[in-house]
Amino acid sequence: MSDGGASAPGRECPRCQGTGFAHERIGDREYARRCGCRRGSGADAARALDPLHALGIPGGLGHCTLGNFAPRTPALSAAYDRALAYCHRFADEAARADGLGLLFWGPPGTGKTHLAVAILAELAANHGARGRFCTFAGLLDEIAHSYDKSSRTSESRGLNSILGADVLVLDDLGARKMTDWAADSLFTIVNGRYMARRPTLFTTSFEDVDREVAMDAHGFRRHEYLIERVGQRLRSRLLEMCAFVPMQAAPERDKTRRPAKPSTLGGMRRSPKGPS
Amino acid sequence: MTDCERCRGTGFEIASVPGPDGKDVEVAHRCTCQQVAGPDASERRREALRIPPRYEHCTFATFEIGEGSTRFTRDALAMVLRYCSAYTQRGAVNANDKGLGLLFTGGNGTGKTHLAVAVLRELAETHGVRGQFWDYHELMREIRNSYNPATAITEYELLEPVIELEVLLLDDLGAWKMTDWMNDTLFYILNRRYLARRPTLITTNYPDREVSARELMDADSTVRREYLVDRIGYRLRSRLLEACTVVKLDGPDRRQVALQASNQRLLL
Repeated sequence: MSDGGASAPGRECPRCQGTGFAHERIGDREYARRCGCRRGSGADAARALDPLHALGIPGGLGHCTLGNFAPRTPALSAAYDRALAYCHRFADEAARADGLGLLFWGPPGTGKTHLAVAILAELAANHGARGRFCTFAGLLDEIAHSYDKSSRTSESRGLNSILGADVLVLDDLGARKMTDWAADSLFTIVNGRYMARRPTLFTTSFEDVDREVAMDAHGFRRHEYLIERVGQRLRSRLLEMCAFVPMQAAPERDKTRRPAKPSTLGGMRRSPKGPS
Repeated sequence: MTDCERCRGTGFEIASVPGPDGKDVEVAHRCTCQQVAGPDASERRREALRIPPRYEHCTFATFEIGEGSTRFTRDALAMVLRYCSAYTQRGAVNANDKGLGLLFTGGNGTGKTHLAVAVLRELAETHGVRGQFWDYHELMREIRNSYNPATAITEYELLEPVIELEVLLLDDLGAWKMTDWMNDTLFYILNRRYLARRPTLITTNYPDREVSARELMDADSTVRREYLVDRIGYRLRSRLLEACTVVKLDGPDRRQVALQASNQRLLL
């Protein structure tokens, strides 16, 4: 399947046939899991062969699979079921033609990125999807860099690889100060993928509420709503192209430090400046 | 052409069909007096028209006048059907009207783009008109990119074909901040097309209304509702109104309400 695997004859793992993914059964369905043969190979050559590296998934998230996501609460269980259903649905070519994506929202540490990365790896391994993982902030940096005279790429070349990916993960949506330029770049990407019906998986730690709710809230609080961060227009596009999946639970990372709090407090910690 | 009794020459008749929720909805049907083209031909045409996959289903036949539609929706459809059927006769009375286009205004998800795309297709199918769909934002970005020496295309090579198109559909005008440069470029495109009497179809989220200079100064646009003139300025607006008939759409946001619910159902 992959050209990279063919270039290293004799090194193919019998379990994954060099794809880097082994299959694993969950319930009555099969999902991809990273094959053990890739573990510990630090050489650059091996890294280039690593399918996760090709997807742009950072090493720290390499362990994220559908098999090792542990839903701790009913809400996370429901989110997990959605993720499995999404992968299952992707197998049906007619169904996936609508370009449906997912938007995971909830406080930090609930496993939003875990699920998004796991789906991306699953679709790449089992359905041959050319995927791409980007953090929102990293993406903006990449586009900004393309304006740099010394970089030989043009803005459109970098953008085209993002617009053209079969599946795109855009991690941590809105987690950066939204200048006009940032909003404009984000809209280009989201709108481009929307019009071409290419699925995008978003994660965001900003709470999704309707416009009326956001309008009623006061500055500091309001600033933590998705609609305030990305604007009404973009949210409307997102609602149309994605199924929204709320992920609310006691944050895993902070479990030792603080007791479970209502999810609404999750956002307040990440507001150093307040409304601007 | 002798007018058909059923569709009065528009090529479409309004029929009631059961909607997804069991209630009847009204849709425009192609009248039997018209020839039906093969599916392959229409697919090829869609690509030539640059209609994105997201809007490939948009025709008059799939435009629903459902529950919650206002009289605007019905009037808009009737108006647009008239525009299509009278397309070849336009400019017969006043030559300047030959370049008359349509300006669709209305909030998110009211069906502006749907109708505009339907017009583009209809004109291509029945009159063989050479037209193209351009997302306004995408067009501006492409033009700006053409200034970059690393890209192979020049501004002229990009703009001329757009200006020369028989019918241009500019979708989502005024989305995002308009810089002076964008405003000038847009004026240049619309003005050249208007002078050459080539119609332009435009959709925009912003309602159009006379807004006095006093009103503009009095309340900051972050407080009051924004109008088209806030986005594109007086000069461009007046050229636009000269070149286009306004088609007002109103009603609930079909996107947010219906589509999110159906997206959720897909994963159950």
